[in-house]
Amino acid sequence: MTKSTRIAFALSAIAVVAVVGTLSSATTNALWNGSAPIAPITVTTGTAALAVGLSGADPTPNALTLPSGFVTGFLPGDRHDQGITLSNTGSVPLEVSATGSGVPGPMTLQLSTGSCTAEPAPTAPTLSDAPTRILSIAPGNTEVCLSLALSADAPTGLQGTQLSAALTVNLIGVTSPDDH
Amino acid sequence: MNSLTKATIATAAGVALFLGGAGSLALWNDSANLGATSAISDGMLTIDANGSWDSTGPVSWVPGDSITYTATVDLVAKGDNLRSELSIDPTSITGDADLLSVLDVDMAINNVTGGTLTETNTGSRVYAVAADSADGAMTADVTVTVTLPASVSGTTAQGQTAALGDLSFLLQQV
Repeated sequence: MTKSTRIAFALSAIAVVAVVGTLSSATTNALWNGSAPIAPITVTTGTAALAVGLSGADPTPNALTLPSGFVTGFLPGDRHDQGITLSNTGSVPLEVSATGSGVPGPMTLQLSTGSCTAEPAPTAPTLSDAPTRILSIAPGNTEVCLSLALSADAPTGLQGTQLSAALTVNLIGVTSPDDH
Repeated sequence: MNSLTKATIATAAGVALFLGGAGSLALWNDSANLGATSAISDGMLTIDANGSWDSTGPVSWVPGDSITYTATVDLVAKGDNLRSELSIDPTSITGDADLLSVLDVDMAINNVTGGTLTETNTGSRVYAVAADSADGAMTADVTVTVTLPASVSGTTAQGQTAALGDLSFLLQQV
């Protein structure tokens, strides 16, 4: 086979492959198909973000430190309240739940809705390590009240002692498809 | 090879070609029909849908939200050897990548008449079409559900948009 013959043969092979490829793809496209339209829609997602602050201060998305006066100087039967501002900076409502850890036995930690103007309602949730639902908040600021109380029958032996190394409250905001 | 030899070969080849052509016309030949006339009728593969969404959907979607499109679908799958499948064409969904990666488009079929629609594999959402009658006509109630799954967590896909502008039922020969 001369060089020119080889070139001609190679070109023929390419041509054959190209034709086969074209036929193959044409066959696939030739299969029958039909379609029926579905009315168009657009899905736009909301945004969700939760910030917290002491009442009267700008909420921040980061952790805040409770005032020392809130957690010290208890006498039996005392209750200390601290107003908290929950800020929903997103575009959809949030279901807020809370946990409270490090709560000593003779004390009770409650989170009630509204400002700290009265005793916590009997139905105000008591916080524990397990999340407790508090309320649903729309975008914007909402006031809640954190209450820490020492039992009136706290043992005398607790005088002058530190009852807990760290009291931690965790607030969790979750979107809910039922809320909007 | 000298010029005379080349000329002789070329002339011989030309004569041979002429002889060959003339010879074909002269040779005996005959023909026979391939039996009686056989009519060929082709089949048909068509689909029509008439439906609506159950609502306009949330203004701002959150995980767990969904919207449902319910349609009566009429299809014709006629052909002795026709194999076809019904599905939703998802390629027309466009938008932000995170939302597209989690948005779920499901299809459920009920009240099929005139044949069967069988999901090819569990969860595939592709249904093999099998008509009972020769005319291939079938009807089904089809529900399409678009869901932002409740399993989406953290801040994934927040503030994003997906357009389902050209979503359609697809009936495809396979």
